[in-house]
Amino acid sequence: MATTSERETLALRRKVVGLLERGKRRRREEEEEEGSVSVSVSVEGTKKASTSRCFVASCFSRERVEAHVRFMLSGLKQLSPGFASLDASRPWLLYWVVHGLSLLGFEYERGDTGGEKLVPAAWYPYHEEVSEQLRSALERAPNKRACLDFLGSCQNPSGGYGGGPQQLSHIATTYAAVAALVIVGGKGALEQVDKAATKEFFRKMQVRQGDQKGAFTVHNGGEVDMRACYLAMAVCRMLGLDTDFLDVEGMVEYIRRCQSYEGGFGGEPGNEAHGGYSYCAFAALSLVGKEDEVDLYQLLEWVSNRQQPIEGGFNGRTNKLVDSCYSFWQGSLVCLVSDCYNQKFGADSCEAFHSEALQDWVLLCCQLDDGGLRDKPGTNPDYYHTCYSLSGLSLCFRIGAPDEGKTDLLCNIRADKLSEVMTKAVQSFV
Amino acid sequence: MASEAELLSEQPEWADLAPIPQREGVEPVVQIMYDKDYSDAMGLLRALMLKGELSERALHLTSVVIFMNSAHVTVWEFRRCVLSSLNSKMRWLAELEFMHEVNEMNTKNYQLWNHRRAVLQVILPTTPVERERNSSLRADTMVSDHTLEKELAHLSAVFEADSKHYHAWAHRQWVVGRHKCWATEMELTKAMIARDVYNNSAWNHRFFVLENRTDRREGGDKGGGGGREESEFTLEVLHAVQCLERAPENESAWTFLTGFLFKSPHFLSVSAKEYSLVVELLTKFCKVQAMAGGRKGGSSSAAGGVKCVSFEANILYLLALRLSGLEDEGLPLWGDLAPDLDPRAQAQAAIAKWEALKGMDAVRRAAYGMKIRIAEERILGSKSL
Repeated sequence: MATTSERETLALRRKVVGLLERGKRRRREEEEEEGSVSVSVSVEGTKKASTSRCFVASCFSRERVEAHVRFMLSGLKQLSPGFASLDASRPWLLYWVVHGLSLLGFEYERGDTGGEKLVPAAWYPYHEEVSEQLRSALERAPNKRACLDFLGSCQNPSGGYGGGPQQLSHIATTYAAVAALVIVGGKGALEQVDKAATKEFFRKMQVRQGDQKGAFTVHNGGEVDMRACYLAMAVCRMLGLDTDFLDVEGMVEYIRRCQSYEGGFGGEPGNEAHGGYSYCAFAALSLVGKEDEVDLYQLLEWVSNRQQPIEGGFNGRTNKLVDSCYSFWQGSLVCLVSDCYNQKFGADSCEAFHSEALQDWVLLCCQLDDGGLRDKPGTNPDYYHTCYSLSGLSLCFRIGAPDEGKTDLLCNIRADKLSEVMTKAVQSFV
Repeated sequence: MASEAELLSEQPEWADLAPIPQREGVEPVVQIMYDKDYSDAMGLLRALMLKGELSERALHLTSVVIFMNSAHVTVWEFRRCVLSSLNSKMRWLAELEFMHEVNEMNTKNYQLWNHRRAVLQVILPTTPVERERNSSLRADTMVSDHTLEKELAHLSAVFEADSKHYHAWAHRQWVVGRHKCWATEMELTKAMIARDVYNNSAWNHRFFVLENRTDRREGGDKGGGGGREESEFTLEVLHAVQCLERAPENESAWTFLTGFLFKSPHFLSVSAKEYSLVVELLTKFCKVQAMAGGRKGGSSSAAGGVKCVSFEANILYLLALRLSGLEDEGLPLWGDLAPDLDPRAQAQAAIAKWEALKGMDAVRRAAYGMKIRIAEERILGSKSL
């Protein structure tokens, strides 16, 4: 007799298989329709060749990109009262939107007057064909100064960013704010971050003794778990802070204790292996160069089994349903583990998971005609899933892709945006 | 809830307080168009926080906001400040009732579970610091009747609605570990696994209990009487195997077995002889599975086949690593096993299985290729990766 979860899984699988069939037909039709366009683009020659690995051109027609961009833009200015549950996550909302947009090829103009607008990037594959509708939507979107001012209003003098103005600093929203600053305004924007206070905030949040020594509490009085380890390390990377001021050894030991018998990591020692926490664990270790402190083979075993043969996407835990956000959490984790091994072998990065299968799941099952991407069929699209589905899709094209065409595996901001703030030389924006 | 005409700030009890509006830029971004009630209550709350007023009405106001947004980190933290300041046992106990009401609407955010832990630390203290805090509370009238049993029952109720609720399982592990109430946990996981053999959270909890329980009797890992001599180690393997007989494609049981085989020798006593017997049993079980799968055909047995072959390959490789002294060196068991087994032959057998899996399980082809490379480098090339 099938249990409830079994029945749910089977029902979903049937639905997905149906969708896949329909989706494949649809995609073939689309391709046939677009045939003339892609031919005309390809004869443009060298310019196209440099962007041929760009995942945007590979995954989306112009209409599709524009639908997703419009969906993302709908979150940038005003949100309905229903979003009150995200009132303590507003820097996240901004990050999801601007990161998703930047992956699709839309970013703020360079410059530091503050009046800069969102525009298609130079490499955006449909640069010459931006519709009037989208142009005016971009024109109405908040300018760079508005974004930077908002993020600035979330920063607290005692260090860190809260979920909104006049809110308590939280490590998660600190990550979201710093990542958004880099995406929106590059190195110049990071000037607003009080680095000394940020360090002090992290120092205060790190647990000094006991079972949880080395781990971080997400805010003063908050919970201690794996997320905070990663988020603190990622912020240090983006701000160029040396992690010497923290108990890195203690943190590594805490992370080690969170690896479950399955090979993935839980939020706390003993907890079930989970995609989000596993990403956080291994990315945190990678950020401090301590990947060898955990059982790499068992991690590979666990994470590679998270990609599901029928759906093509990843699930977050053993025997759970596939969810598109794990396209990034598990997808980048399997890339990190694979890269780690290849480095040991002296080999180049190679494809770490089944790229076409993942693309089929995201593009055929999670994409909406009106724009936006969703968890799975039957759910509504949202900014979080759109952001992480797109991040996951970009992984499918990362091998050999230029920096602007892929996301950084450790910080999840576009690789060119990260290297721009990482360069030691001071760049002045013209 | 107040209607538009009676906003909180317009009521007499708040007349002394001017709400502080939220700072918003000239051109706001990601701006939430709050309901009037919400922004009004938040305005009052900001005023209270600025004033540092840790009063009964402040407590009430945090309740009002939490019912509108139970994920507001700052409000929960302020609520704990108020509770600490009121220092009343009755107030802390009432928190559980309040949490119950909030849980009626939502059980899934970090704030709820963090608060629950904070409350339990006050009313069910375990450490000297917690006890001291507890004994310094104003006693009021209410006697503490919140017991561990009630807390565990609450969690069981949450599992009724969602048997894989991540926060709830993490909370259960916290409670059980902290209060050392291991007695009912194996039964719980057994029942939950019997109800849904695919419930990986229940399997994980079972492993957690086996690894961490502190109530094992001295030398007590021999199973029941009646001449049965199976140890806890063997019984646990048999339980997983029985589950697999019913559902051979169940990854939870396979990963449990793999984990248990290589981790449990660190927390259960097991002899080399017994270990060898169990490995032999599992090898036979896999062979039977392969034959049954070949007869039946169909998609479910194909999935079972993949899981089973993948398990066999893993066991061969992980054992080979230990027999070669490349992993887990400190454990004498691996040395005791070594004479009968040849690590190189085992690694080669694992590689052959992974080659076969590339064809059977195409979605994970890249990983099988990587595993082959790893085994070649680590065991056949004997490099210390």
